[in-house]
Amino acid sequence: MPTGQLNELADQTSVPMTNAGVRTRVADDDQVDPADAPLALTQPIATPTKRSSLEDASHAVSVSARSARDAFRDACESNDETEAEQSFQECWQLLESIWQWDDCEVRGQAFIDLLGLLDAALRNRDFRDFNPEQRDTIRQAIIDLPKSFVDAKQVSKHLRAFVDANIDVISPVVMDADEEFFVEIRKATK
Amino acid sequence: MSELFVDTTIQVDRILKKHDQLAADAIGSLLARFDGINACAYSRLEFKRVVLQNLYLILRYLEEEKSFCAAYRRATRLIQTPRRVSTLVNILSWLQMQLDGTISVKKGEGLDRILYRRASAYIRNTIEALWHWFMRSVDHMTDRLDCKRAAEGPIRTETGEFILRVNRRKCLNQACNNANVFIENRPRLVLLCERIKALDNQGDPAVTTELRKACDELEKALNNPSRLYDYGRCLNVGDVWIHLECLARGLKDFGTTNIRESELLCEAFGLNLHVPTLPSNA
Repeated sequence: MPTGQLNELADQTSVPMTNAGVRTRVADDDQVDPADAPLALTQPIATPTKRSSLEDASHAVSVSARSARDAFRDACESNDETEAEQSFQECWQLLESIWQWDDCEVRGQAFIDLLGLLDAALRNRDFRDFNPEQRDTIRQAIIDLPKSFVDAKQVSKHLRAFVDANIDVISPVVMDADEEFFVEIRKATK
Repeated sequence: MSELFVDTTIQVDRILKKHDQLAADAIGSLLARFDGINACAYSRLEFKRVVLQNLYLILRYLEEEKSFCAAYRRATRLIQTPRRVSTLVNILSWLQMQLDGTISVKKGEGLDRILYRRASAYIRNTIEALWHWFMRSVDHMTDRLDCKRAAEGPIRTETGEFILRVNRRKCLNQACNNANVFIENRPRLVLLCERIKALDNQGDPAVTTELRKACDELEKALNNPSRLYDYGRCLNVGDVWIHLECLARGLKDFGTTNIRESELLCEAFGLNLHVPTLPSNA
């Protein structure tokens, strides 16, 4: 879609935290206060990046995927608990960084699904939360991430293995009801 | 060895209420009283219709819009189904997006694109994981009905598509066993219909709209069981099928949170009804 067209579709999202349960509404377009200046994220989870070239970005995705794989391997092979946790956190942060690259989509939907599977399993967790069988299952999956072609059937196979090993991958969608958000989405004024 | 047969409501709550400590404890304590847990394939179809297809709809919004915010806007238009909206809110919350104020995003760009990409992947994986989980979460799955729709799981194609269909027209091919199950159980189904009608004539509130629909469908099938080879008609008898699956497995203990229909059906079929209650209330 051309950038100009996207600009016309510009939306505003406001997501203040509240303690009053999940409440949502969509404001009418004409209720937008032009004085609503965009504020910064207090904890940015994503920094959109401009790639210099497709190759550079694809390379960066590959490097991060390989590094994440190696970091997880290090965590599994470490005899020191602290070191293992550090490697695990590094692995998770590398996976997180891959999302920021628009070009991760070039790698195909199966790659993104595998990234989502690993992300869902590892995010917000510690290495010690996983038993040896679960670690091995994750390791088998993360090995595929740096491959130039990720097979959709293989992703399904990994996913089944995660479920069989009781690794929680549904929390992003079915999560703790204690978390509360207020979300409002409205079209920006020009 | 005692075994419990659970219906769709228990399976749905095991997932959707897994973070609701009270509900999870109540279900956990019920299941812990038995040595084995059983369910039926027909419940898996209902699980697909109730839980997975809701997620699938959100996934379609995401894929059509290629934008998290635009998908959110579409989901909020359906105010009767707050679960669809909460799916997307859950993802924001899980990502620990701590926003205090307003952010501006352009549709399909930057943060919006990243959120779309992530939400889409999480939902695809969750649908497939839950489909697999349903089978794994019980010790035995009966399928006396041989329901073909209950066997149609999500499909992930090489081209990146993700498909979750209920091929309802294929029911007309008469490939399942529902008419035979009906014929095998004809005497008890006749008695069930008589019981429902008698209670209904007395104005008993135990006769719900669903039971009335099931009774109507069963009576029409008495002279023509083949009528039941129709997706919609088969669904009308859904609660009855699930209780019959319990009998077909030779079990007496039936677990549900759907007391309204099961109270009468369990009584009619000689099943023991079990409803999750907190240990202190048990």
